[in-house]
Amino acid sequence: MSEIARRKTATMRGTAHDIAREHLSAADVARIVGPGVISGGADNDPAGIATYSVVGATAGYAQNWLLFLATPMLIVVQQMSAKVANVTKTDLATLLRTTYGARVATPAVLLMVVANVITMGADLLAMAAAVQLVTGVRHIYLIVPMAAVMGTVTIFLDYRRMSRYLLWLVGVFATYILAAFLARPNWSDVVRSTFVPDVRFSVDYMLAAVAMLGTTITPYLFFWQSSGEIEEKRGVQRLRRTNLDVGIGMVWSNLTAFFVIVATGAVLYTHHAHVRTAADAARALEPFAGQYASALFAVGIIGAGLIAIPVLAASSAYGVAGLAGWRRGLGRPARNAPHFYLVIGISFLIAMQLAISSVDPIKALFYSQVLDGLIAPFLIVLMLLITSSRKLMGDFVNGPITNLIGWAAAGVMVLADLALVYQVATNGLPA
Amino acid sequence: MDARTAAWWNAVLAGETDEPHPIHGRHISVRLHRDRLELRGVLERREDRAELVRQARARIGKGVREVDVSHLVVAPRLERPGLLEQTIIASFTDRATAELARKFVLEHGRVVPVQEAIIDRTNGERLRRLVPREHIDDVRRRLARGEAVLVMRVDEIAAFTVRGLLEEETRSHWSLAVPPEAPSGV
Repeated sequence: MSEIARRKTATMRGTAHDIAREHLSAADVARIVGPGVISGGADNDPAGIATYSVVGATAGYAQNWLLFLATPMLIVVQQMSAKVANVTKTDLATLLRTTYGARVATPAVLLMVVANVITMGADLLAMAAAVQLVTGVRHIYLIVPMAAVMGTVTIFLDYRRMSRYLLWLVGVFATYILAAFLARPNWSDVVRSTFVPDVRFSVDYMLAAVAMLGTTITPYLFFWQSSGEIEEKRGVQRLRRTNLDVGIGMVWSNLTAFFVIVATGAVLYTHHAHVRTAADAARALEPFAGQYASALFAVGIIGAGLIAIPVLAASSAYGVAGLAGWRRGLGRPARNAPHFYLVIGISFLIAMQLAISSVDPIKALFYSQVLDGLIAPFLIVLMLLITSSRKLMGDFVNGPITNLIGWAAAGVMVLADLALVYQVATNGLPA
Repeated sequence: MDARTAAWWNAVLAGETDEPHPIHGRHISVRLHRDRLELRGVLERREDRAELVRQARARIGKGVREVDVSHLVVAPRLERPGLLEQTIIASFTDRATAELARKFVLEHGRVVPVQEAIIDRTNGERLRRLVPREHIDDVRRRLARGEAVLVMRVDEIAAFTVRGLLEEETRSHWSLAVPPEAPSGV
């Protein structure tokens, strides 16, 4: 049956969901690159790579199961962010404000903005440290010019268009896959740790778990995804395409993360080495790149930062503009949405200030992800309540599997947060 | 053509070709080489391209001898207009403000609503015909406060533009998109 005939039949049946359902050919699948794939690229920001490196170096493969478990959760949460925008025709911040009022929406958005700015500062620091690795120029001198260039590009150029090209730079992290194989890990350990949960009740383990969940299921990506859908204007009639776009982006993101952990676990954990500097993190690439490991790591971190930092700044701006009802959108020129771009500019300034203050870069990256892990479940619950409401979603209300995985995501993150709070309260923070 | 677009064209003819277009922003670029005007870029709709080409050609003989629009294209869109419809509701202080918002949306969104109405206390009985049952109480609460409500039923893809304009460009207090539905004629 042709596409038109199928949709005509569906139209006669009359449910919006049936009418909107689209058949995708193999050629369609090959052409899918949208906000989902870009979100997947932005998910593995320098903070993410640092977190996975720290996790691999400190816990080996012990938390692979958590990453495996987080993958369907990440896909479902991002698909919900996309769906809610395509059904309600507005971004997440506006939807939170119009549905729950400013009392709920404001803290949700502001917490996300705080975590974003800290992450931006940490990402800037990581990028500067990566450049220092290959050029020898002290990272402190690199932060301001890097922030200035990125801020200018985000404000004055069409970032969404550019990010499609920048995605190729993140492809460098695919080298972690080769590095992981060349490091000759014990594959039976890797497979067992991926499918058999290994829970340890220690502060280090819980911090790593919350940070890993926080960097994987990240609040800013919910806002970015929903705003991206508003700018793309695909609608519910392209929901299958959107879901596939999100699925591909998130699987790629977590696959890379998995091999970062395996590579760092095989190279660093087995030798009891710690990740304290960018040079330490780059060592995981040595089995693949040898003396060029630092250069390769630097290119990857710079690419990841170029994609993620503007996404973080823009997510904050989308959130604040959605709360205030301001004009917004990276497709708009700066003079057409001044408040939106002002938030982006201020985010860059504060992040730059954080980066040039004497903060330990790896610690800053790691703790910003812990903060994300604490905020995310709150936002996931709000999103689940919206996407389960027939009044707001009509025929596009969540199915039982989506609800099950979504509530499981919120539950796992809350449990990890509670365990972390308990461990820190009883044993204190690690040095 | 609005004043901002006219000012943009004047700036282009004066040689200031770096200014972003007031409507299409950086999606289009313009080059003026001697008396040859070249428009490049990707537009969302065929109508937008036709209007831009018309505006450019209207400037032939006014500092421009030739217009090249071979690199000005319309983005291929997979969305099918008319497949689904959606009702967008927004509340305003009074009927006059709602009327201004309605005119603004029709002019700037370039949408053709399937249905549209402004409802306040004087014609509250129309609510049942235009607003789905689940949302009637939300709207009634606003009418009870003396507010006026603009209701527009449009194509699902056009609903992005309508809600965006109502949220960001008008003085709406509140807005809502009823979930997409099968077209009302079915």
